[in-house]
Amino acid sequence: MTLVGLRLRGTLRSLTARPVWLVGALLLLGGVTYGAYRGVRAGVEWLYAYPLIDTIAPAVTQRSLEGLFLMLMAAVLFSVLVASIGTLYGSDDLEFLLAHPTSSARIFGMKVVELFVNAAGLPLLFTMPVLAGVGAALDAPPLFYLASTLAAVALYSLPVTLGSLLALVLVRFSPAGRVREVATAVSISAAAAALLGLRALRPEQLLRLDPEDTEAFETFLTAFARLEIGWLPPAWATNASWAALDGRLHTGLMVLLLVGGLGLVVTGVLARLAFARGWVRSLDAAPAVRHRRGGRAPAWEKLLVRLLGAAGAIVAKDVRVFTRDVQQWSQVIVLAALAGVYFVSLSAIPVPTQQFRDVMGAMNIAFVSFIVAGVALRMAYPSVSYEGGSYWLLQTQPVRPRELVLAKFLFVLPLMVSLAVGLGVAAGRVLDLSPTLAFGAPLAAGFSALGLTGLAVGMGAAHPRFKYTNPNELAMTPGALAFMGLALVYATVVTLILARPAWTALRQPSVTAYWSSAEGLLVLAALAGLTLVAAVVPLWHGARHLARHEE
Amino acid sequence: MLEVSNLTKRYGRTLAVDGLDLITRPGEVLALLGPNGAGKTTTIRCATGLARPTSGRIRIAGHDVATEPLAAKAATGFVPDRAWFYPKVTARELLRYVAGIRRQVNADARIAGLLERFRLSRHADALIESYSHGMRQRLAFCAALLGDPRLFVSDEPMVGLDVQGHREVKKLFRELAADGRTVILTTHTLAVAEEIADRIAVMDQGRLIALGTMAELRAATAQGDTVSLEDLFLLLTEPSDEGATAADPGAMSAVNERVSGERR
Repeated sequence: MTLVGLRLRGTLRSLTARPVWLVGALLLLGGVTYGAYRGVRAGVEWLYAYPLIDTIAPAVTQRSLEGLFLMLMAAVLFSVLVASIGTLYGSDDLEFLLAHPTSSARIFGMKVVELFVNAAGLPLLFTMPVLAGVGAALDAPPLFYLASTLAAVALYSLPVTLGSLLALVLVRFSPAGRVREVATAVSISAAAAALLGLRALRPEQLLRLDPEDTEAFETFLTAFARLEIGWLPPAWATNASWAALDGRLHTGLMVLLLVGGLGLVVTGVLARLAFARGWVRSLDAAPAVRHRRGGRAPAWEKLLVRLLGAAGAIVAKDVRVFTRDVQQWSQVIVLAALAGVYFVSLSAIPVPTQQFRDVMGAMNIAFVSFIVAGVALRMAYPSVSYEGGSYWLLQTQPVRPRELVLAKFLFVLPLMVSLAVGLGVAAGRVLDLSPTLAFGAPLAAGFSALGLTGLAVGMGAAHPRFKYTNPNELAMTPGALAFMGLALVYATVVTLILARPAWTALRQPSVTAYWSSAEGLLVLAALAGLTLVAAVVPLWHGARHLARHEE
Repeated sequence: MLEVSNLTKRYGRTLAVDGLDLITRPGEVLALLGPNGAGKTTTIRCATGLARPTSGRIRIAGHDVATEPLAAKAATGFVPDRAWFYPKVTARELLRYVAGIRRQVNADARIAGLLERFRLSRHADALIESYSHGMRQRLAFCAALLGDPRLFVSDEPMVGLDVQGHREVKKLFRELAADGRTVILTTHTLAVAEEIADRIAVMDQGRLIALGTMAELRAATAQGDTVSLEDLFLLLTEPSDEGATAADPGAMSAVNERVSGERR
């Protein structure tokens, strides 16, 4: 507890160091939380008041809660697999902690708590208002709030325990000299596989219904209400919450707590046996890797420096670091898995008419922006902070902060644009969109990539954190939360701007020359203007802030 | 070369440097000494752009660090006490990176020469993550010299270096000074300062309490010709019963007066 307390005090101090941003981030978070609470409450009340299905409303609500628990548990599992090796074995403070006469299992425990906060913190924050909304709509007793919160914490701790166990095993059995690299690559590949595996369950089968057919909708709800997944932990959590509505304690809660506790005990025993030894093993670097090029700079590096000066040198260095650091390049595997899931999901959606396809195409524009925002949070936002302890070198060299910020932007941009435009083009092909949207989807995606990359790099530069124990912390800082809030605002505005061409496409699917019309050009100009502001202002602000930054 | 005028640096309520005035001349090695927390590192951080002064002015080779940071930094080479570099690049790639930042496109021959001089040629194409502390420190010297600086600043340069490294660095400092460049180093190894420094500046509690050659410091403290720098240092920085340092105030003010005179 001393270790966790020490960590909490440090986090609290770093949060309160910038009170304005902290208040902003808290307000944003509060707004989103309150919105989720109101939305869920209204949704449940509507469901219970809906004619014909009011008798199955409890079952539908219960299944929805199960679905949410399942989805968020999968998200936690994904985050844990991506971050486990870095947090449990790559944190800089381990050297200090393990040198003290403290049980290695206890230190491992602290790191597992850190992993839980990083991976399950946001899902838990999102679950709380949902449970509060359900409780308020159904006039639940206090036991409901206590039992459902306990159930959610126990449920999300399961993937954390699983990921920690996997990390212990991977580090123990990865080939010597390459332990951290191999373990990280395997763990992240497992995360990608888990994502694709979950997609392979084909949940869209449930959605094969005619949107205009009320009877079909009710049939669907009835089928949905019967769809129980009693053998999965999310169902235990839901049953426990549901029983608490009537003031009863369900065995599901006991089972969850028991399994969670047992998992912790097993992990603790294994950690006592293997953690310290595994950590020492992970430190053994391979025989020095040599990159012989006859001592001359490669042509691409020279070209970058000639074209971009200092920014070119920084881009060249970032290319090298990215391709050699498994923590960084393995993110591409995650990106590929995300793109794959999205592509498969689009192809699986039943699209009976052109109008319906175009509706999906218009919604796709918003979805792509949200995906790009999520990826930017992991790749673009921390890019300046990735300079880490080496930042002194840049600070003492004749380089302008704006050159650094520009270099980071230019380095991340190709990846982001490829992902976004790829998703946009794929959506156009798969959904066979009308010409207006087929052109608009990749265009909007490209603009989103530009705007959100600039926003992320700029805000990351305005809130740099060069001292961190592991890079996964960077996505959970107040600045990162503020970025996500602004990114959502940007994505919403892009969607609103494109609502007009989407509407035109819905009404007149055969129109081919929309984008060369006066209205089309106006929409393009609005998009370009918005993107320019979204990218350039944060980059400029970030560079100015970086110039004043001292460690 | 380096002109520090009335430099003050505060960290919150802590006063790290208090109205410091200091001028260095081309072709000299200046050792900046002082007990822990005296303000030496903060002064160096302000001069190299790692920290911003609360007030006061710093000029390097005639360029104001605050208003012309690029020109000031272009004239400066810096070696920190613990040099941290990107672990996933090689020494040669790192030096190319520094050269690129300084817009030196064809620096390969110069890089090879520096690596050779600091005994890193054999490891030049190995990732820095496999380097020892001493090797990283020697690499920091290569990076600092790559820009051919007129002012060379080093914070505890001897930390982590082996005996051979010590000798190389001392020789380097004298060579740089002989070439008309200025070297400023902070160190707690007083023997090194005594051996290579032309002048010694002593700081305590954020203020400059003495500045001069060994002979001038001995005269100012009314000590004989054989007294060591260690004894002088302790005499200067150990507070007396009344809280004042042991230096003869009259003599010290004469030394410091000359400093101010040079600045004017």
